[in-house]
Amino acid sequence: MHNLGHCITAVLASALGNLNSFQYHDFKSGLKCVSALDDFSLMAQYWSHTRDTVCYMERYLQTFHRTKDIVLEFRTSKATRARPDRQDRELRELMADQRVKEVHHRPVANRRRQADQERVERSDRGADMIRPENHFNFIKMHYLTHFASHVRRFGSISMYSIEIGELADKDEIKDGYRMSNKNDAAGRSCRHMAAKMP
Amino acid sequence: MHAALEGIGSKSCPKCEIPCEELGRDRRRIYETCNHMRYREKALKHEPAAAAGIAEYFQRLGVKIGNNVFIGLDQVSPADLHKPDLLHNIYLGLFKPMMEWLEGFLKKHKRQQAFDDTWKEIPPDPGFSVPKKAYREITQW
Repeated sequence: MHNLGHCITAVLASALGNLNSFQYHDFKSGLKCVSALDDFSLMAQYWSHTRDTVCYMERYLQTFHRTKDIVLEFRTSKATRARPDRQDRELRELMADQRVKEVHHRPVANRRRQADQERVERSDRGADMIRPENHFNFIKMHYLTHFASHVRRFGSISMYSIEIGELADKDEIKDGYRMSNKNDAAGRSCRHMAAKMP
Repeated sequence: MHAALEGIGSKSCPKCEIPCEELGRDRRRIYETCNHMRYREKALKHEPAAAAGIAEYFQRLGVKIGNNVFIGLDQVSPADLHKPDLLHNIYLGLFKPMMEWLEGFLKKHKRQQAFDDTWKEIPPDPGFSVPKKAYREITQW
């Protein structure tokens, strides 16, 4: 995940190369959105800040919010997708029934064209149902707005990261658990950790 | 964890009184900072007739009626205790979903293969471990 932040913008920019005029706007917005969030996260990891760096963070966040609608259609939860999927299935069955009931058999090319049209129609209907349900209203998205005020008040965010603590869990707690006889494992793990301390 | 300690809902901000339906918007206005002492006073000193209104008020704020673990501690403001965590806020909370959105975006524009190819070709750099697999082949970060 650390590496991702360092290279994602460059990789995406390279992958979105050779574009045509129809793709220009979407690709530009997509790249801007991803790079803004990436830049924000990289600046949030600075160990020291100035007023300028905090302003940059705020500006990147604003840019992300301005461009995030480009990925809104892909922010669909399973629960949101379930209803259109069910409706799509029902519609497909209905259309298949109608085709079976048709007395006259049409040429294969016509049938294929109709099937394509039906597929597009179903896909559009599903997208129309999903679009209003998609949103970015989750707490981690909002909490980014507090990062700048946190830096101004308490200093670098990296100081409060619990990553090191979680990494230490792997060695200290799991080793203690493995070395115990699994009877009163919590107590034995704590004693094992205490014994290891200098 | 913080939600249980501070007595707030899991979708509520521990620092400000922003409504749930505005969490994803760019902040256009400054919301009031959570003040648990005020909530407590409001919960204790209300008229019996206003009970329904109070419940609605707390529900809107996403605050659970009752004491949290910090009540009674002098000079402690639970809103100031909460600190952003890079691991859960940025890496797991944002980068992971962002990559899912990005996958959808690349799929729509048929650029997944180009992304994978570029991903595999990233040159080595000090402090940067080169990915050995294509992006879509990675199952665990």
